[in-house]
Amino acid sequence: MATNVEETYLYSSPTTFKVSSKDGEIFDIDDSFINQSKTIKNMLNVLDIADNHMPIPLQNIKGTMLNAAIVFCKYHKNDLLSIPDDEDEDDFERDAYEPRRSDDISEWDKEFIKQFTVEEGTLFDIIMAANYLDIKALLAVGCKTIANMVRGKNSDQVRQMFNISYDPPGEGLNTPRNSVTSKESGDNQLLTTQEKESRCKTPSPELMYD
Amino acid sequence: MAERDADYASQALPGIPNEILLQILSYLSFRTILYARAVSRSWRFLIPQAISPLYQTLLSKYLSSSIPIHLPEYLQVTIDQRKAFVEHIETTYSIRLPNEFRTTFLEWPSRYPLPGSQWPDTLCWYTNKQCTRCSLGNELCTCYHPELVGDYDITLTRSVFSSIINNQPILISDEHSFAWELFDNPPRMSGEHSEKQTKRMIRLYADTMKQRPNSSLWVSLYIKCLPLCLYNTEEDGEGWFCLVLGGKAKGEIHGWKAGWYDGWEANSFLEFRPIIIPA
Repeated sequence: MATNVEETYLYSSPTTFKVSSKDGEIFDIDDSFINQSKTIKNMLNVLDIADNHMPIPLQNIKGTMLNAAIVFCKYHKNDLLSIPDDEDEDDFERDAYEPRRSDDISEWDKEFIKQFTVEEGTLFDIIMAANYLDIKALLAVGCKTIANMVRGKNSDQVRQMFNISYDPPGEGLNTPRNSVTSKESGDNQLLTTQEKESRCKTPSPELMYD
Repeated sequence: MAERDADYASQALPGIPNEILLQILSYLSFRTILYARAVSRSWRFLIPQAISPLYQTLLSKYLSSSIPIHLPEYLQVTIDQRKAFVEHIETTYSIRLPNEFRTTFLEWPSRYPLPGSQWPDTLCWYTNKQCTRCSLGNELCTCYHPELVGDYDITLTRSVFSSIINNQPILISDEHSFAWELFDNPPRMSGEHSEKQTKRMIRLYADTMKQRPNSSLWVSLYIKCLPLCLYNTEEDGEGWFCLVLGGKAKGEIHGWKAGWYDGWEANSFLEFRPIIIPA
């Protein structure tokens, strides 16, 4: 691995630190993690930690998640250095006409994310950890994975998968079939007749108007 | 109202803050968005904030009640057929269609076109092998057989060209009124606005300028286009509304009539309002 001479840090040596998880596990982190976790990077810049034997407490993150994030960053240490550190969420709007893709997760990332599941809630844990640590690439992999799970499912299946409760009957879009009786007002005016008919049955959109 | 909104937005996905759900929703395809809207009120509330401006536009068009559903079959084109069209164009001509046009073609969930619009003649012709003008089939129709992608030109005199590039005024009464290009489209746009758009176009494509063969007077600029729809066939020849495929006006729609550049028509495919053929 070539060292990137353009990368400069406000903090100087040491280049490894210790962090401790919510459940008291202690991990060594190196540049690969510090470079990718904006939260840690900022912490080190602000805190000016000289003593690298004292672990930095990360009270929001379980040890298993912290460990996984460290593994992820080790694997991605090279590719991420080349990506400019774009602060903004505007990235989103870079080309308003270019759809964002969720089918571009690399093979390694797919394997990596498989250890986390919705049922056990660990997929959400790793996403929350990535969010807290501000590791953009890991957060994106997690979000894309969930987006892919939503794809091809009808609203019932999505609710079931994520344990989302129904809105009060008679008020929302997701009321079970046949229970929408009264003429709804307000936001339901947004719906076409076709959509009102199809919203519970969720047929293929291609056929919605046939 | 604000209170109700906040209500919808709480607990959209158990255990996940809404800012992360917004990122998740931003990765959904348009088709999935239509289903996701029915998951819960909070999802439905958050989706418009999460999706791209193009999807926002498509969604509001999809939810409007004015989708033209009574069109004859030869004006309907399914997603799969549109996909085939896009693939054909992109592989045959080694280009990538403008994103807005491409996404609309590949993701609009109905065989019926967007409200206030109709599928391009060229697409209908390619797909259904039936002419949208005379509704005759393949061999019988002599209305048009468009070459799908080609270079369209803006031709003008060299002196007008250099006046425009140098920002000098052009007088209509002047000898230089050879510059028909600038003033030749009364049926659609006229006057100052049209002229301004045309001048802009000439500046944008100035680097494609070539001298006309056998003439030192005329020069042409070349713009790669996909013809979409015919217009004004009765009068002086047929005109084509064309989608610009390359250069700085990529994605815009411009007109060419009887082989001459005929002016700006729309900024994008979604703003384009072709002449609707009555069903």
